[in-house]
Amino acid sequence: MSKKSISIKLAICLCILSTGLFTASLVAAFPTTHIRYVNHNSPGSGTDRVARMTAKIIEEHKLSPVSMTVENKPGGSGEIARSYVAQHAGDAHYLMTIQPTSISVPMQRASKFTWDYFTPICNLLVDSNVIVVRYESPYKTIKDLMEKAKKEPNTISFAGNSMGGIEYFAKYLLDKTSGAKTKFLAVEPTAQIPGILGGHMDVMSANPDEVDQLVKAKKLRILALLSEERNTLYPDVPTAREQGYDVVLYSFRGVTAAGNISEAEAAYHEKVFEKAVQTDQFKKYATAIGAELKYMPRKQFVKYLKDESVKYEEILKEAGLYKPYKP
Amino acid sequence: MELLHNLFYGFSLILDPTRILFISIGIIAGTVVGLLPGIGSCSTIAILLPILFGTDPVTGMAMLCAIYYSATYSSAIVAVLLKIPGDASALMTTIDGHELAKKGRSSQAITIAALSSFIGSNVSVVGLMLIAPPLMAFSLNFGPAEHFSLLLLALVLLSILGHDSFIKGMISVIIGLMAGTIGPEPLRGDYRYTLGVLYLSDGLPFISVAMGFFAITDVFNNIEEGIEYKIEDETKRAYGSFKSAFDGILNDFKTCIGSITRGTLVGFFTGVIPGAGATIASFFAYAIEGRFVKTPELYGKGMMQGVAAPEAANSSSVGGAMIPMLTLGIPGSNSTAVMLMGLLLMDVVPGPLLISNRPDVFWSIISSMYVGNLMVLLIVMPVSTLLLARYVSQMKYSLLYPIVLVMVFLGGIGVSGNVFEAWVALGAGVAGYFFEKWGIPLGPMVIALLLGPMFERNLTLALTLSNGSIGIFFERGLSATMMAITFLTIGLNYMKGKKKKKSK
Repeated sequence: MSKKSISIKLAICLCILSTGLFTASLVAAFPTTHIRYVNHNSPGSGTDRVARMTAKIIEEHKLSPVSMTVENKPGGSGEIARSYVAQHAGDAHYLMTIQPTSISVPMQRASKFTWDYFTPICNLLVDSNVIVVRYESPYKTIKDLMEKAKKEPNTISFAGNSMGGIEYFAKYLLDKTSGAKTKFLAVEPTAQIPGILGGHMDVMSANPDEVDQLVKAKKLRILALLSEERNTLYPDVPTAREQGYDVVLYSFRGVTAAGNISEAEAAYHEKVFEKAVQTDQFKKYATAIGAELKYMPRKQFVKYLKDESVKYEEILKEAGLYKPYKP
Repeated sequence: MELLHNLFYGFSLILDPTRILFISIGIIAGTVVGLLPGIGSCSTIAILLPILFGTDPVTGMAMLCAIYYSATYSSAIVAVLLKIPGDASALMTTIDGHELAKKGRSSQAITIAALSSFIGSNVSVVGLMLIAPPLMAFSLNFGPAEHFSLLLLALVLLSILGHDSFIKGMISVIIGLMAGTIGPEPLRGDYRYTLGVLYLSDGLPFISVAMGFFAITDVFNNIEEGIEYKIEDETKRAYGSFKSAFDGILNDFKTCIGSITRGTLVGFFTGVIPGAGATIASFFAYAIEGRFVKTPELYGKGMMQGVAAPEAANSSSVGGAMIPMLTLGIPGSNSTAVMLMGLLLMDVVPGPLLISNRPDVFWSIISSMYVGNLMVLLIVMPVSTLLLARYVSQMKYSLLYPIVLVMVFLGGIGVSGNVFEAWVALGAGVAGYFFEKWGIPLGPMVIALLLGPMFERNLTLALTLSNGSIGIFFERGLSATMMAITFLTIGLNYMKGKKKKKSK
């Protein structure tokens, strides 16, 4: 065979091969490239950690044929992340973290990026919320605190991230059920615990793992758990309900995808995450941070979000913070 | 004795060949990424976090510290050579540092910066080990009222700093505070002055404004004046030998001993206060140093002390900020927030139980602060001082400035990926040009921009706590003391001004 004929044969082979590959990629099943898991918080925050742990588990157990990269797009209380994912509507390679503020913030900022602008996939776990005071505080039970707040309105200070966030809801609901009136302090997340420890602020709301070490070191005291039942991490901590204050408030942490994706793509994601939450590693992680394993598949999650949304809307309206999107 | 024993334990963990290798990787990565302006030391760590996956906590933390110190250090290099504050903590270094570079003393400035940082961080680590618990108890006394008084003092010191006119300094601070109101209102989060622009929803991106004010304004000014070379003196421009790079360095060091000491102390105590980190530490150190300098009229125009004090402070603040992190698990500053992130990613939870649960992690963090710093000093410094400083100082502006502009714009876009931030840098450059024409200093303005939101938030919180009574700032000992110092400073400055007028 002459050199020329070899090279012609080679060229033809390459053409066929590339056409084949090209066609294959056209009909290739989703996903075709890496999946982006967008976090609306900065690295290290609660939601971010759950997301990173889940992504890590998916990688380690090879639950996805493509890699999953975690991207942080903090800012604007999540609006920056939401607008980023919204720009990629229709592209199921974009996932995003979803938690209570994903519902409450757009309702207060007249944003169109409400929870139903995207495609909720599933809920991973549910973080409980605890009411915390400093160890030396004169309030030893939630009753002590709320009774004082009722007797002397506007003296007890309640620290939280911002008005319209989950901590604010906790304060609002506690005030409502007890007929008390506390003051809300919008404090930077990192300044809340020092503020409590230093005696500048009376009470705050947090997730169990944020205060775990300080509780064990007898610097902070948990007055109540805002859950339906007691928590395995703190079996001696009574729920607010038990103590006569029917306030149940969970911080769900779930996954949502870009809007306008197909049913098949959404189902694909659902399956991957379903397998992830069933691993021992995930279960161990959830227990370690004091969260509850409440995996919710798509349909259930959508209904849950709808219910939460109604709950938040009511609270925001009463507080005069409700500002929905007006197209 | 127990302490030394623990230290040796920490060193034994760190001085392992694999770990040293990882530390070196951290130094290279940190230096390179840190050179890119706009990507400060904290963002550098955030970007490089994936490297930590799969490493054990001891190695991971050692690398993290190495990345942090080398990134801070390379920010100082860029600040001195190119007048680009690549990291907020290098802001004060940019002022005197670049002026020194213009006098042909960039190598010395970089060396002093490195030595000050080294001394600052090492002393702070010692402080961390010796007086952590009582210091932590002290810092918890800082509530909203105290934070407000502290920030007020900072803003007043800034407006007095190194300018002839207190009024102009005040105007600068006020403009900065006003610009700082752009963004969410502290209590309810309502947007102010964002004009519907999504990217302004957290306010003006501070580092873009800082880079614009310093680097881009400089470009405009020099183009206008037709200056061709950074170092105008031709003889100084031609760097003869390597030796000339260290000309007079011993003398410089002697002059700066006091500055380094003061800077270290200021930085350390500022770092302990939760919410105050390297940046604020460097402001205070720079401002306070200005009161101690023998020739205050030259401060800000190229005095070595103006580099030594803030650099010592921003490094020692890390040691101070480690105190709340290691004793309470609270990140007291940006630098410790990223360290916390790193630890959490490696499944180590910092807090009061860390020392007892994971002594290996705790003591190796301490020793890696020593080792990492030392390696940065020995490896990076000679390279940057001898190579970079020489070449960059001799470059013609016509070649240098395009590089500077590209770096500033890329840096603005940097971590967030928003081109909007590059526009902000440009806008700040234009605005800065005009402000300087009107004699309004830019330093206080940009710092007020950064401190403004904190200032307002703490005022709101303090007044909410006191139910509207201003007395809260004067009734509490700590806050009252700071308020007294503030008023005293204003009073003394006013009298000094009057005396000056009389002698005229």
